[in-house]
Amino acid sequence: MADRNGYIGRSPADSSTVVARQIFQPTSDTTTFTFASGYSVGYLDVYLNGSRLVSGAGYDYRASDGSTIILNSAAVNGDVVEVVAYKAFNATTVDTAPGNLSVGGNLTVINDTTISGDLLVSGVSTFQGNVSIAGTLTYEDVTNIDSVGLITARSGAIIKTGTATTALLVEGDARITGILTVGTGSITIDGTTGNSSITGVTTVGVTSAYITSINNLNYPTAGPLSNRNMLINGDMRIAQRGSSAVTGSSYPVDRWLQGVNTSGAVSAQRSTAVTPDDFGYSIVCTVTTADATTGTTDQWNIQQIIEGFDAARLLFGTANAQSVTVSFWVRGSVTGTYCVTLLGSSDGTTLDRSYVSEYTIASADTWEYKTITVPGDTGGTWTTDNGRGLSVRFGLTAGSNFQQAAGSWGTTNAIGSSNQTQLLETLNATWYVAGVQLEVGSVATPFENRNYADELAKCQRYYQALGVRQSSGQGFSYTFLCPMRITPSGTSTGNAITVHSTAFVISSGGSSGGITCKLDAEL
Amino acid sequence: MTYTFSWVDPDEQTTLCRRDQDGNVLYIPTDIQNPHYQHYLDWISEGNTLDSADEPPSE
Repeated sequence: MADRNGYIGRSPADSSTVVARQIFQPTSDTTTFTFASGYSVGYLDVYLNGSRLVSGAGYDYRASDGSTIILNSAAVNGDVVEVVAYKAFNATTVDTAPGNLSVGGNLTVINDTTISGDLLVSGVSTFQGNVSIAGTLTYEDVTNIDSVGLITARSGAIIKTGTATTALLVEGDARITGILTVGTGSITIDGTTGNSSITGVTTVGVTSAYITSINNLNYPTAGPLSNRNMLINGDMRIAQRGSSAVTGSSYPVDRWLQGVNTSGAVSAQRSTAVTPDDFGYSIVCTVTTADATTGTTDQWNIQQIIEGFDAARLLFGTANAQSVTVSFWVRGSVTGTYCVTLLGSSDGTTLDRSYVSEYTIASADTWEYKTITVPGDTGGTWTTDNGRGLSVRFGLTAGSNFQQAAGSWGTTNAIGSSNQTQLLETLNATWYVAGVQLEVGSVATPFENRNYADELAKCQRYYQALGVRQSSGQGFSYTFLCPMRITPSGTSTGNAITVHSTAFVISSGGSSGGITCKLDAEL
Repeated sequence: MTYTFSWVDPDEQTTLCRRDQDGNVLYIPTDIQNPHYQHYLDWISEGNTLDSADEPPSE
């Protein structure tokens, strides 16, 4: 079709042309037809029964108002009038398009794009420039946001609770230049897989700080900072009875008692030759005659009994019973499972509460450091006076009469579990122990080295070895070096003695000479 | 181990002298908390009796 400029079809300025078509079938003589979608004057074809009509005054029809077509000769019943209008379609007037707009290829918009309705993007959206959002960016189904560069939140960021354990995870370094305030929860610094360091001055607030390790050394989580070790002579330094080997139920060093019942033979002795680093002494136990088969009543152990006065602070036998931790160095020629048992006494004499813990000697003849935490005993009746309070017992052989399952408090006089290595069955087997510490709480702190005088004084509550001189057979009284646990039994290398609560009296008679008196008030 | 018991001072009776079969002597106070004295009481309850007063060992 021609326009005023001589083009065939629509003007070149138009993006494209759309065609509107309508068919009329009059039932009576009709000259005027209304074209429903309208037309542009001059862009219209009219057909009568298939023959194209010519427009214009004096011709077949007139179409000059954009909506009606007037035939010069009326169409009659049975005629078919077809009107075809050609309409321009331009991108700038897409809002006039009657239907949807579909773009088969890419859509490039040079300038701004304004979308008054919703924008739905099914595929991936890429923004090469900035994206500004005046309102709130709300997302409901986004799993992750992945930013290659920085994310800057100018007014703050609120991170809602994430998984059960992690709301905010920073895999690299995190630096806060302002104040970090932690709410009602806590801060956990995990130093197990790396180091945590604070280089500046750290001020701890109004309550307290819980620090379990400094310079790779544990610190108490409960109980006192000094006199943490509830055991006396845990480093085996004090040996008032001498350092000779003992073969029966006796004390190789102060406070540590060897208990044994076997058809074999054993010895226990303080050793200075085989000790762990930082310790000068140990106890070595040796099988000198093997007991090939462990009978039900056979047993062998090394133990220290803590006086009830000292064990009372653990509150055993109450709902507030405190956990304790045993730490020690051990070395054995026979690898396997061994046991440490905590025991108590309801009457101050009979041991009838037990908690067996197992540990492993993994390498033969090698010092190994062990720590064992035992929950406080909320049951039973525990002695809190000068009787037997709490015993720490190392099992070396445990017949079935002395066995109890590990891991819970029971009512036996136990030495070990059924897994206990029966050391007595191996001739010349050796077992060493050193640096034994028992303390309140669940952390094993470094061994508490007390000075010799303090440690000796503690031992002398239970045993005193005294050298005195008797002149001209005169009897005399000698006051103990310190109050002893009970009125002690005694031995004398000289005249007979009578023993009282705070002193002993050497009988008169004989001549002058030195006398050694040994006083025993052990548990 | 077999023991014999006697008083160090029969008049005072505050300390027992326990002698074992090897001749080792232990002086035991009459303190009920003393385990050696408890052992002595058990020994008495079994029908045993004390020896005469112990003589002081010679120097």
